Amino acid sequence: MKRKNLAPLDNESDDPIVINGLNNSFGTNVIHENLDLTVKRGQVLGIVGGSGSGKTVLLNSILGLQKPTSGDIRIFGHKLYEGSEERTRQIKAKTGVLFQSGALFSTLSVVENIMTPIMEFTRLSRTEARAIALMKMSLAGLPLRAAELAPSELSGGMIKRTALARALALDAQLLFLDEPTAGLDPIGAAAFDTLIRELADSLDLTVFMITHDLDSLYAICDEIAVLAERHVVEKGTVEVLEKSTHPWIHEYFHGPRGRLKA
Amino acid sequence: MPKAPPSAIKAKFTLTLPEKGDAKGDSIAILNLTGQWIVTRLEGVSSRLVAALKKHDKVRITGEGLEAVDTAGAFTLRQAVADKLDGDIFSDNENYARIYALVTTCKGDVDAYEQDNPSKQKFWLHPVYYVLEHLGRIMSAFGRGFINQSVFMGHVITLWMLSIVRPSRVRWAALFNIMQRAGLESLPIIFFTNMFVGATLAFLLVLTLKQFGAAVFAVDMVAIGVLREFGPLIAAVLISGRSASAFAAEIGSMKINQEIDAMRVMGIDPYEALVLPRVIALVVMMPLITFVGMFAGMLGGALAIWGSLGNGPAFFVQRMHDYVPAVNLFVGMIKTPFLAITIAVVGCRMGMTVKDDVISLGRQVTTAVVQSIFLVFMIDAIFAMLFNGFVF
Repeated sequence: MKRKNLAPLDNESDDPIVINGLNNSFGTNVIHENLDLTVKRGQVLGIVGGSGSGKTVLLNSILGLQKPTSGDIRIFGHKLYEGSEERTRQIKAKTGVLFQSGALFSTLSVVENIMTPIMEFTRLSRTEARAIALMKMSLAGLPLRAAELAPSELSGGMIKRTALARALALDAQLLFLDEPTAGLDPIGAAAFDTLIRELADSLDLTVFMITHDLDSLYAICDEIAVLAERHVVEKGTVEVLEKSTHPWIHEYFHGPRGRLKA
Repeated sequence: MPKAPPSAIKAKFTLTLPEKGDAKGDSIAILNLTGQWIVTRLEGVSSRLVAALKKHDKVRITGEGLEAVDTAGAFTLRQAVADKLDGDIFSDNENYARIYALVTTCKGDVDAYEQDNPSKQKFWLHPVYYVLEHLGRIMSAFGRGFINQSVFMGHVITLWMLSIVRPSRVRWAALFNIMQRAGLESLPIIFFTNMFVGATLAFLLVLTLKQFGAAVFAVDMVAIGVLREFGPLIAAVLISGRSASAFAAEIGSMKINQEIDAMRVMGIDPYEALVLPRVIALVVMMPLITFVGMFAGMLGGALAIWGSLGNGPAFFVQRMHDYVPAVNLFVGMIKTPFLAITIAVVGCRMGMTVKDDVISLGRQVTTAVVQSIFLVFMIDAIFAMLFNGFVF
């Protein structure tokens, strides 16, 4: 059965992500306490934080995969977990996610993976959807001869690019990246960084990126938010954070693997 | 600020011809785009646009009425316009122009790909072709399967021989673990299933034989039936459903998780560590399970006969002792190790042939159950023929 055409989302001009007073806890283990964060339109925001600082929980809360204990999350001005199913679908069509491991559907070929959101949200024919999916592959820098391959036959970089093409299949305005360069070699990671920056500029994307890769932070992020002590301790450009006196941030930028040796 | 209701205007276009063509006499059309050229609004526009532009050599594009353009919309336009573009496009909107330029760079790739990979001729719609192709596929798959099965069996038999020579190489912990999981823990279900079947059989026999005044013969027939066929068969079918699937799923998910590769790299033979304990465990446990099953079947039969004829268990045991020779127990028991090997080998082999994806795991588990049940019945039929003369 074909679905009804999706109406565009209203209030699109609002800030893509606004989080107010987010609390998350598992039993007695408090992950987030009074976390505030705003991502502006067209911004590439990097999220850094130590292991266990709740980066993934934050991402899952924003994506609606995990209901926060309390707090207010707005995507494009619309409150998450409230409103009709239609509204939720509209928001889903406006957001794209690149999971850390790609999360490609293992039973579908590359081009079918990218076609999935197109077939789900539009009433285009398979041929049309396929042509658009091929165009997205080319946008994401994938060689088109990979179109019929299964995800298990792809290299790590190609999996990431396929996942990116799938995330962008509906021209999402808001892109979530979970460790986009993890597991890629430095050259592949740099190429992927460039690709994300170029696409973010030319498609006017808002990007929310969890990363550990200092090179990515320097190369593509407009701003960086640091998660520590259960909330965002500091948010600013790389230059501002380099001068931060917060011990974790200082260690991050000036430590043995940081760029700035003391 | 009252916001305008969200417009749901489809991607639309109108085509007009200018008053006079250009000097060379090419027909120039002016394409006016309106509405939202975004992926969710593009339905059907592609084919209409291509058809409309067919007659014209040059197209001039204006986009005053455009509300939105995304890459999919721009790409659809680019595909339809091809190289007929006359003048600039979207010169008044930098955003649209940038998106259009972006998809233009992609178009070359897509065109080249579609040229190299033309959509396939749909031969397979022809029934004769379809049947022949499938027959060929099935036959070649059967041939490959037979060879692979032989290789697998050879491997298992070799390891079995080796393990007799060197018992220290057998994984005793795994072996006993599987004996418990596949053997002991299946006893309740085997017991009750056999009891129900034995009771049902006894009721039916009493019902029929009563007409000839020979109802007491129900005892002989229940005992012979349960000992020779029902006991081993029901146990084997239940173990197929329980253990063949479990073996295939366990080994298959280890394969997906690269655990088998890890074993190979460490120098552990996965056949020795995974397959052999499972085969030996079932071979050891199967006769014991079957024996319990036979007992349960006869218990059920005895209870049913007690209920319907009024002759108690003592009568059942006496009559069995007099008229059911022990050779029936032997005929029933002799086939259990063979059934056990079949079930374990099919389950493990299906697990080892799982590919990297989840669908293949599901398919192999299903195949393991179906194939092992089929083989159980086939082997049982062969044994029934072999022991045809072993009556008294």
